[in-house]
Amino acid sequence: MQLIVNGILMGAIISIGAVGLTLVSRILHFFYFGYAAMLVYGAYLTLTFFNFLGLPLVLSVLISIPLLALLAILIDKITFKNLRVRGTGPFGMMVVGIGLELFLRSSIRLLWGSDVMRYDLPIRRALVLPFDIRITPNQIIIISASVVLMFLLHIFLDQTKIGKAMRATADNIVLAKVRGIDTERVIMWTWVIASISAAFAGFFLALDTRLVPIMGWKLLLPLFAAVILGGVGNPYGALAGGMIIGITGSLSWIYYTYI
Amino acid sequence: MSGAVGFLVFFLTYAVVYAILAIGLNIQWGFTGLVNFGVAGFFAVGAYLSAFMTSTPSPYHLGGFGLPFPVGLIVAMAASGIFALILGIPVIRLREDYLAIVTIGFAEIIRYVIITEENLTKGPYGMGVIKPYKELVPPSFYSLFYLGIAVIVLVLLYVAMQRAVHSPWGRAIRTIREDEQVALAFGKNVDFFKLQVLVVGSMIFGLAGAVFGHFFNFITPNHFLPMETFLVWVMVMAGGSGNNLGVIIGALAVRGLWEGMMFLSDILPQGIQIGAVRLAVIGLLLILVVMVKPEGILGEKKTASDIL
Repeated sequence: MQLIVNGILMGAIISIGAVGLTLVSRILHFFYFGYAAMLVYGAYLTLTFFNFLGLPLVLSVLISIPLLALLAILIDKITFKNLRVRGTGPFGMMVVGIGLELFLRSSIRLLWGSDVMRYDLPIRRALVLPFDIRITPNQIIIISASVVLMFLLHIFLDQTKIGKAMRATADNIVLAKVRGIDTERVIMWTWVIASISAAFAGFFLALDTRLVPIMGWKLLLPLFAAVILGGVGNPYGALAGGMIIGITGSLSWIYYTYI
Repeated sequence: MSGAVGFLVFFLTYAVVYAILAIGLNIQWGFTGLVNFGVAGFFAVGAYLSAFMTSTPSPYHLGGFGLPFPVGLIVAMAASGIFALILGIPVIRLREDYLAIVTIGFAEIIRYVIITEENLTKGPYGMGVIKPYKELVPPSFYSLFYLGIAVIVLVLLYVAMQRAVHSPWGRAIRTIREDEQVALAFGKNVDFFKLQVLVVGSMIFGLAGAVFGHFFNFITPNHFLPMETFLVWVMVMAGGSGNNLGVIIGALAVRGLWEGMMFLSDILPQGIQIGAVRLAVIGLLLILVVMVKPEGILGEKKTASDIL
């Protein structure tokens, strides 16, 4: 039981991150490795506002999202826009993405250092629920906030005009262009959604564990697994994929302890 | 030998190991267009297998057969080839970006198995690897002697690969890179060719792993991080995909840049981590190569049929 709860927790973090990654993968048409660095940037920006400037935690997360989005759009303008114009294939873009990941990851090490850090929060005892399940208040916050976020995201994609344009572009980019959708604008919004998704996933991961520059890379492969399992470009698939990967990953401990 | 000469020999041997890796990746990516992000995984398989074969018996890790050095090299290549075959059969038909993710996942699996299976590999503590033919030369000249061995391996490999890519087989794989449909229309079994290339290239990575292990004399899972894979990719892309001499130059240049940045620590202000700067430069290099010079320093010579 404890393992299932842990799995749901990990699944929630992966799902939140995978939603952004799946949209980027589909709309920009390549697997963006630099997403791992976005995640870590989100966590460290939040850390800066919260630990060093003393802002409230929720406000810190909310401030770091637009900063992260600005950074992502700036990077897109410098690199990927040129490549799109030139018609570079998905593989070339992917290599540039890897280059960005290496560059951004080391910039985190240069800006914040490689030491393990944590948010300055009081350590609270884990609550003991029936069936001897232990869960910390932070973990409850992570799971419930993920549910709220997913619901908001659903409303955004389902109800707003840009959300619909995004789903249309994800579905078929040529058809979307034919119907007069401004794909560059959609791409900009994709980076915004990806930043929200990455900032929260990074923040939750850091809240549950610790902040280290390598943490994004460690989450990247599960994220890709969730994205591909759910079908690239399908946010709801990414949610389900993230949950499946999280719970399976956690339950595999049973096998490990019996051998 | 010590001081500057010792460092130069160390640097050159290291560069030769990477040149071997770069030639392996060049066969896969440069000539066939096959994406492999699992270089570090095969590299690790080769290094560990050769270490198991040649080391003296020990209860703390697998193997310890005390076999001669060439047997270690051959077993390392064979094992990497078998791993490539097992990995390749289900995934060889994937599109290049999916293949990238599968192979990077493979390399991470290998690395984590090495870390967790402590009773086989001594896990994160790392295991020692013998110096082959230590008794033949005086200890002070040993590193130079080993550089000679490594260079001989590289030259043999270079000659063999040059012959391979200029053979009908080489023409077939280049056709696959340019246009799979054309290769299919000529009756070539594209998937089988790709599988062959995956296995051959990975055997070369295994060979490089064995050469690396006996050079460094100590291997830990941290020698086989995904970073190593990207380093080899920079060498191949910067040196010129599809040109074996180009990727060797790329390997020397990138390795030189990597070691050269160590001297930056005297110039840079205190507290700046040289490791992070190195990583950033490699990242930038990857971006710049794709954006500014996709064909690399030397590039590939255009070849046409004699009839034309």
